[in-house]
Amino acid sequence: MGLVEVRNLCVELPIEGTARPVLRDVALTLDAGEALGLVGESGAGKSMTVRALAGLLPPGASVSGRARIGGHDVIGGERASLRQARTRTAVIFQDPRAHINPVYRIGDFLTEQLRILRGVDRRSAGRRAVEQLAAVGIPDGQRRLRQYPHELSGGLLQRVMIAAALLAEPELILADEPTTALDVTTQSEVMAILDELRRERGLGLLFITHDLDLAAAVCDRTAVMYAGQIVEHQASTSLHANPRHPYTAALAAARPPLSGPPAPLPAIEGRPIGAWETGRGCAFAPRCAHRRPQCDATAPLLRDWGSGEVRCLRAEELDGRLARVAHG
Amino acid sequence: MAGSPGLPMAEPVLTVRGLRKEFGGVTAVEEVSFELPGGGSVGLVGESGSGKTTIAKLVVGLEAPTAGHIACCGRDRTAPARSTRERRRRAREVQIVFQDPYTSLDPRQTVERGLDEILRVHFDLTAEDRRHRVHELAALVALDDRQLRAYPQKLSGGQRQRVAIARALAPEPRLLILDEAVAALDVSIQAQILNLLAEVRRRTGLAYLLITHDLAVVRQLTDTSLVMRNGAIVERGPTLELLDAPQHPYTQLLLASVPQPGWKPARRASRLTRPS
Repeated sequence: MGLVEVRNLCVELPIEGTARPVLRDVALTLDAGEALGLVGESGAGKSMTVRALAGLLPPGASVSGRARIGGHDVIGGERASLRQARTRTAVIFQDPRAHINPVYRIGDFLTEQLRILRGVDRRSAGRRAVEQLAAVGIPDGQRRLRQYPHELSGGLLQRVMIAAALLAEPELILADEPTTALDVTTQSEVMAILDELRRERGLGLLFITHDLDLAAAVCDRTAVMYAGQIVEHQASTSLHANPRHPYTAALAAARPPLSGPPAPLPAIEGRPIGAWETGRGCAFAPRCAHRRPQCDATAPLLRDWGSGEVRCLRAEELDGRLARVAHG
Repeated sequence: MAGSPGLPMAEPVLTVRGLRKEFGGVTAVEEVSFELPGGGSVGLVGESGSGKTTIAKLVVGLEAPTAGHIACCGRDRTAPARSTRERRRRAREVQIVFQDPYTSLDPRQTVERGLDEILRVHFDLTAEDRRHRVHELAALVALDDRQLRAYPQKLSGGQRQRVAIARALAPEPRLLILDEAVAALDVSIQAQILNLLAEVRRRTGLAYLLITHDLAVVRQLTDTSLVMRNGAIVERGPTLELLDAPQHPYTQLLLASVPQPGWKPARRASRLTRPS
């Protein structure tokens, strides 16, 4: 049994008064100690997947399907079941400043759950907080515990958030674009710390990012989302070398390269759409360079392909060709 | 042109000499000098706190320098403009596109009316000529008629950034400052806007001052790059050479930190940037 099991997950949100789908039939599994990347653009549904797993969907959301963490139902289960799932889960968000109380000291923030939920006394909670800060590369923990969030830079504060997540001794970390607001050098450092500690402690990681290469660097497998669905999923290394969905290939190619002579980029026409804007056929078809009439008529299913999955009617025909698209 | 020494052909569109800016006791920009030739494109690369956006604000005139000189098209603009007339004249030299297309457009004005207003402020044109010019600008940034008649909230992030670019192009400036203008866009939209900006420069001969933290974006749009750290320039050179063979350890660190196929994150940043 996996650490995370998601089946047929559908979420609708009230947008301008009407219920509109934002997630359509999402399925994924994550084993203990494994890292899975969820990659996509705006409206793809990656953050909504995390919110559904954390039980943090916005008010008015209607959810169906199944999501379990450590065997405990997150959707439609008893409150006790959700609580069990939550004690196994820690969430790290993109903007640390929006998820920390600005009038609490770092020390209060870090020790609160240990003291209140685990009954650890103040002194040992403080000691564990300092140890955890050292583990995320903050050596002067004692001093940091007395500081307020505004006294710390974004990179430091995000490391404090990682420390807080790890202090809860979770089995699963849900990380939603944890480094997007950081400078590249800080991103590299924060990701290295997260990756190292996750491996040491055997934690599962669901990592949300818009950056295919960043996901590949820290995740065993990567799933690509578009318009509320998973369109492709396979081992991170082969995803880049041999993408099976035209969207994955186009996304890899659209990113400006760091070497070679400057040339116009193979941009994807149009804009990323939300799940509620899709028609009868394939959601990506209107922007797809490999579109055929059947793509507009039939919505493709996510089907097994090698060790992964793909949601494209033409996957067999396009096999091998997409690698050339992705690499120019 | 009066007061512009040197050869007319080589006249720089922007000259920055010994620029310094302090906020309170903090030095945001320290001894920065560079030149941007007419039709050229210079990238200012750096991380948060490097002073790159402060330079953009100083050049546009949103901040006044503590020391140093700024000249555009041969005319000094170190001191703030003192009249509306002067401010408008300066606006016809330099325009800027900001990062966030959601907060940089007036929500109560259609795209078309916004563009028309800019043309009325800057040029003496008939309504018919303005209408013609609005459509020309829209075509340049690939906005259709429906989008021209729309209010900004009906447009996506990429479309709004096209609007922001069209508005910046409307006064026919000599220099366009792009302050992280593609940073907030989705990857697929970012590629469209980068292509558009390269095409606009090719067609109009406009000069770019590109402010970014993204080395791949600099590579796409600039001839020369300046790498900034803590308010000072640490390395400068032709963009491709600088990115292919960076000399300064900080430039090397920046490049090594960009995720690419086969890349792994590393705890190396602490060697250069001590947590404070």
